Amino acid sequence: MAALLSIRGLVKYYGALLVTDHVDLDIESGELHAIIGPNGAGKTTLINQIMGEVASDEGSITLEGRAIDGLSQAQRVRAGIGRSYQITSVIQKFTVLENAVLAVQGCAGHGYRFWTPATKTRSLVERATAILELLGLQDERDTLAMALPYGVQRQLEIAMALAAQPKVLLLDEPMAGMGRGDTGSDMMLRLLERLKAHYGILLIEHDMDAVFALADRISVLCYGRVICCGDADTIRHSPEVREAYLGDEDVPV
Amino acid sequence: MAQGIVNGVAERGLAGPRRARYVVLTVVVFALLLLVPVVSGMTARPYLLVLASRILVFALAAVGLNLALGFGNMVSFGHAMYIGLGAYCVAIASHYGYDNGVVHLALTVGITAIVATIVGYIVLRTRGIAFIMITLALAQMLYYLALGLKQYGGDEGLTVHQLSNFGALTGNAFALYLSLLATLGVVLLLLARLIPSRFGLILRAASIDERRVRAVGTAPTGYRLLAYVFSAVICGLAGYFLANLTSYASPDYLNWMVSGDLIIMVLLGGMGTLVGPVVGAAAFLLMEIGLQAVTSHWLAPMGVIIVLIVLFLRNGIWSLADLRGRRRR
Repeated sequence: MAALLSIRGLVKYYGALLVTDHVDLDIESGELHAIIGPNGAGKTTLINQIMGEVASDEGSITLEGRAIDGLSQAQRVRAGIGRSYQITSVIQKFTVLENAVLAVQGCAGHGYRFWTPATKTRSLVERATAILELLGLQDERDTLAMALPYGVQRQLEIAMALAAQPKVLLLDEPMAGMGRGDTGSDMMLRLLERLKAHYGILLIEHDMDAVFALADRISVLCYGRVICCGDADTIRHSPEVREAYLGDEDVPV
Repeated sequence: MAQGIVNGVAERGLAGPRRARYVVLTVVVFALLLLVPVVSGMTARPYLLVLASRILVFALAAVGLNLALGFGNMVSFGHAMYIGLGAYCVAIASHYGYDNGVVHLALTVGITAIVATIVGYIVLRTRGIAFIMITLALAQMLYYLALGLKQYGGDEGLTVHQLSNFGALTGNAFALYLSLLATLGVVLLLLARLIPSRFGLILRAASIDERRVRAVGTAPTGYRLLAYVFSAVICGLAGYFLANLTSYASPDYLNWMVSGDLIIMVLLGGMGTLVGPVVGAAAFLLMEIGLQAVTSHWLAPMGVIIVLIVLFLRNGIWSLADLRGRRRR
């Protein structure tokens, strides 16, 4: 059976620097596939390539068996790939509802509508509200995003990725900037657990506890190459990973 | 840039009393503008009406520029070219004996829209400084074209012998003023619908973070292009009125300094606010006249005043209405 999202032989050079080195990767439906690796391993570049934000030099990406290499970023989003950014990129000067409506409308036909206020367009607001409720953000709907605590902004970021009704979610360090054991990171952990059932998820995360707790499969990326792929136990006990990624330190359990 | 957008969003998102304050102020501004022809007529000072008409022409143009600049973050340094285009549409049509006002209007809207679509298609491939420079360069190209067209007056400009013909109203200063005021009012009402609409939401979001808009599945270029064209057409209309006001189309209307003045009017009044540019245009032109009466070196004090206003009222004069918001920041 073909995977939900399938990546074969993906290559990216920045000048002479090989940042993505023939990466093969599969994400099954309902699977959380985590990518870990040291800083500069090319994790975010990989997501950018899948998204079409960065053009790949070689290789192919298929979504549900259909090649998406020729699609623009906006088209890939509509085809069913949603992403969140490592650096929070909600529109700070918009309210929570406006952010959600912006995300919902992206996949709801064209936006050349000039008369009715977007936040009063019922079809958009209903779906936006449903997503905000799913994430428990409904009480903040009229708050400007810039006024939200950081953790809540991260959740809004995820909400915007969900609004496009994706099949695959690419989450770039959703817990970045949250301390371990923060209420924010706890909430995010529970959220990811819930999302896992409904989407194929590619997760980049530095919080190892979260990765080992959530991931069905883990790929270790090092200098643009997948050096190891397997479940948590395989990764924990892989000497290659230990050497390349974790150095001499003990693997956190 | 972001400051203006904050203000624009704040203005829209305002609840109850603060929003009402802006509505009341807008009504006051328009009531004052409606008083001008009355005062001018009663005191037999026709130049008052001409001055006010000139203010309205530039207010209209500044409102147009603000759609691109304030709401779309497209810093166009070439919008004077659309004023010039509008003016030349009237003058050249008249030159060939076509004086029907409706034809003039249709020509103005059609030609500015076509030119803006082509120019927009080119300039929207760039961002930031490159965008500023390329809009300036294209506008200057049109300026030198106007200078070079000897059959249309070249550097001397083209006198409009037959003003846009609207029957008995043709050439009536009051009719011109009132139609200008009505046009400005209608444009502002349309923008008040446009800015919060789906189109406006995408435009404003793209002006802050284009990548984010792409990541929700929307390709922003078309929205920005259309906003640019709308903005140009509004400036074209201002040029149409300017030609009728002065009975003249001059290459000077297209000069880059006019583009610069327009940007200053928008900044002065309040970038990314609806009515701010109207106030900004009035303040700019009145200041110009006032200082010219006092000194022949009027540019120096005017520069200082503008710098001070922009420095201390970063959201422009219009934001004075929102003192509470200013204190908070």
